[in-house]
Amino acid sequence: MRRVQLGEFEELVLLVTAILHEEAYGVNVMDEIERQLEKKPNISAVHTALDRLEKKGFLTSYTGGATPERGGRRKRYFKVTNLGIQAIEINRKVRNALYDQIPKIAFENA
Amino acid sequence: MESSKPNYPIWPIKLLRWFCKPHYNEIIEGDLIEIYERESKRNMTKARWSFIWNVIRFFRLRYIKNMEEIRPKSSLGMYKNYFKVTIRNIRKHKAYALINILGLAVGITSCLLIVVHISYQMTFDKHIPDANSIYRMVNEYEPGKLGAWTPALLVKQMREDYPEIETGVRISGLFPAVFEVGREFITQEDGMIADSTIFEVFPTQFLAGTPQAALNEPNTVVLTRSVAHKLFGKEDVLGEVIVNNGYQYRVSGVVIDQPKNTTIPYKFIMAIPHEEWATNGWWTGNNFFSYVKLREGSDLIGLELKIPEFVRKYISAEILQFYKGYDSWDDYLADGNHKSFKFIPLLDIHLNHPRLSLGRAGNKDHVITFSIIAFFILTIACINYINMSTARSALRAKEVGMRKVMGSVRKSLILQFLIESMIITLFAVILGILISVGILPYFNQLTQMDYEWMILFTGQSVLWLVGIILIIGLLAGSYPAFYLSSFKPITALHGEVAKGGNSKIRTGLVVFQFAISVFLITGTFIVFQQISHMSTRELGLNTDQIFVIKNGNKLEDKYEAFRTELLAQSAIRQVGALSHYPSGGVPDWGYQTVGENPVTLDPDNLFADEHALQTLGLELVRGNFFSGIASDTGAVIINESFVEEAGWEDPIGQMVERGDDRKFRVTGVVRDFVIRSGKRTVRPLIFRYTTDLTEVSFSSGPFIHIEIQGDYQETLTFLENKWNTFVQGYPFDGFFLDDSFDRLYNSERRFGRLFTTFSVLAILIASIGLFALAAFTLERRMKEIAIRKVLGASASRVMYVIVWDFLKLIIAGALIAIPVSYYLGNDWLNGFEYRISIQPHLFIIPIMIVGLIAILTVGYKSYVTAMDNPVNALKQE
Repeated sequence: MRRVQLGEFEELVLLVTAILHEEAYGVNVMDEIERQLEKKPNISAVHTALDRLEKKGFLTSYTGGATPERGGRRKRYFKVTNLGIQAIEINRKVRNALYDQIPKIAFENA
Repeated sequence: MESSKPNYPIWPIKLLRWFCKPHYNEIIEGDLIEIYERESKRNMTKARWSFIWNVIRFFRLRYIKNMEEIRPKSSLGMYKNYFKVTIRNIRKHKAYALINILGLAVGITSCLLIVVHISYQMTFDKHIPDANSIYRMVNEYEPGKLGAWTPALLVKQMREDYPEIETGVRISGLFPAVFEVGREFITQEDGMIADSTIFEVFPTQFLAGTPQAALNEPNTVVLTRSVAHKLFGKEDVLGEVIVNNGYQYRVSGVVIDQPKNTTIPYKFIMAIPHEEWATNGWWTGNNFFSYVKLREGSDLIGLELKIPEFVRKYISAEILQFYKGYDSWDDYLADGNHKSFKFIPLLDIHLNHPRLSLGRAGNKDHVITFSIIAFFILTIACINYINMSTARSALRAKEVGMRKVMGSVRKSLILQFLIESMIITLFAVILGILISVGILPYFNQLTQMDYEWMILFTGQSVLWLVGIILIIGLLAGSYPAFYLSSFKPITALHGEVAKGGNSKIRTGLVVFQFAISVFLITGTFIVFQQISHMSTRELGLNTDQIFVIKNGNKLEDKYEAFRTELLAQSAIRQVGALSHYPSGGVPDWGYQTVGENPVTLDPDNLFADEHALQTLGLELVRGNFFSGIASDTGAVIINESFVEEAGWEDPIGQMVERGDDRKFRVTGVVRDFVIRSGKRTVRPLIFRYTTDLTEVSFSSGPFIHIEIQGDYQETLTFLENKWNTFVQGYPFDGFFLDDSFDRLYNSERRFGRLFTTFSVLAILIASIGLFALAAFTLERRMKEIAIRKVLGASASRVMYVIVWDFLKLIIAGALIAIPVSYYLGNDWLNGFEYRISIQPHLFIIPIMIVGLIAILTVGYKSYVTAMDNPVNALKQE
């Protein structure tokens, strides 16, 4: 089985977007990554990753939800597409399959 | 709404809007403001800074506006489109683009290499500080005729008499020397003898010692870095002693290696032993090269005007003593005699006065010739481009029509096609540079230079490249651009512009290409004919079996014993010694005939022993050669040219003199033989006899000529062994006489090889273009050919018609080329006294070669078309 080509950070953003389900937009995704990984990415990096994922067809987006905190600007919400879900599942399967093949002894000796 | 008075800083948002694509603006701004609002509740300052930082972090390629977004009202978008269309066109017609780019690239490669070669020739001596105020003083013995050697006193006296001269130096060289270091003997080329002032005229960087302290006493020597390393293995050799010819020399300085592009490429400099040694010739002996440096703002012309007075003051008396029969200096001058000195700018020496160079001579004619060839090659490549672009114009007609309908004006269409040709040229330049780097080793072999690839990227070369792109782009692009942009939209869209450009102009260009090709091949032929003519010249002496041993003086009084032992060997037939050797540069001495009407001659002067005649295989026409007795010193043998110039009916018994009281009696006449390159005809020559050849020889003479028969390899080993038993501590050195004669034509051979290479390239590019043009023409005439065949024409008849169309162009080209190559070829040949005359076959063969190439290229294409089933051509619509 072939892994879907995704950068490490891209994969992270894709997963977080999926977690946030319907609520994912730039700042939100950034915060969630910080919460989950205790490491804060720059907002521009998050935007870049989101744009790339959308271009690859793993995400779709729509705009809406302007708030006063945003100076009246709209948000851009992201949603995982079916292709995105597939990519997440394939990568997970590949990872698990590889994990399962690690002999126990490797863990004991580590 | 808070937007009326936002509490976040405004200017980063403005910055963002300035560089960021508008499409992304709102979302990014929103996210940034949201983060700011949140952070500012905790720490205002930190929030501001991270706000700014976040804006800067959006400076990513993805978000930055592209050209047309920055300046939306300019035509940048159009340029982008031109570029895109160009790339699409290249992709669509790969073969055509390849031919174009490859042809141009080869043209640019030739051009680039030639430019490198030429600009290198221009750099000679430019590194010397104040090179503009340094002059070489040369002897003018006839108006316009210059002699390199000057009297030893010249520089000294000029400095004393004329304040315009800041400093000057006498140089003698270059010569090889054998140095004894410790117990080792090492031969070192390119040495010279010079005054200590050499470093005032030609400053150089000292690695050890100082310019002031170097060479200011006899028996000191200055080495270049590489020689110091070669002799001692280190740089700091100040005060070390080396032995040359039995004299000890103290190293008084080490300087950096001299660059290759100089006319004074010394490797070591020896001090002048002592002034008496240098000036023993007084004013009539010319033993030195003189260089002077003028003070800033000096008047050179004024100084030159003072020379006649200088000559009268110091030299006239000595000359009158030599040439008897004149009452005063004015009488001597009135008789048509001349004596003066000329100032030759240092920077003019390499190309304009190559004979004055101490190093490898430059050649202005070669520089000019290759500039022209480079230009020709580029022209041919440009013509290819023009021809193919216009020929294929029908393919672009619809695009032009459409652009016009959409509102494009002619100016921007012209611009489009010019940009297109410049892009193609740019590709060609890149490819050309790659090819140049790749073939540089072969080019070095061809020119016997050692250019490194870095030289292709000097400021000057890059400037040239940019110039090439612009010039070719404009030159090659302009005609297609003007032509293509002239289409009327309606006819273009109808597809009626099928003529394929003005065929008259295209025909003219093809004729011009052929003219250049024929010219270059003819040139190659003439050069090679002349070279083979010179090197197969009847020399009048035996060269192929003669080995010459140098440094005969090292044998000292053991020469006779050495000779006897050699002759005992059956493989050695004859051994003779001469002060100089044929092909090796023989000095000319002044002689005067004795009689009622004395004739002054300056024959080549050779001292020889009594065996020289037989060894060299010369033919004695009258009288006898030397017999080896002491009275022979009063006898001379002359050649036929001497007899002719002296105007003697019966030369035997005639007398000649040299200005002193000694007279020489002519006892024999030899048939003319060649001692110089084919550039000169045979001159008068005189053989003298002396009991001590060492005295009258060059530093590496006398030259022992040995006639060998049979296996020479074995004999050479024998000679070397014999030499080593007779001479301790001096290496055996020698050469075959025919090799030495061969080397006289090295420069011409190099010229010939370069000429051939670039001619072949030119013809190659031209035939590529011809092939493409033929292919295009045939494509257009496919239906015509098919109809002809249907109506009964045979394939051979069809081929004949097409090929004949192109042959007509070749004939027209040849008609242009013949007079031009006749004129230029004759001009080049005039530089040789011993030359070929231009025969018709020198033109006929090149025309046939070009014709054959054309028939093959066109013929192949037309064969394919003519053999095709006419149905294939007729059914497609």
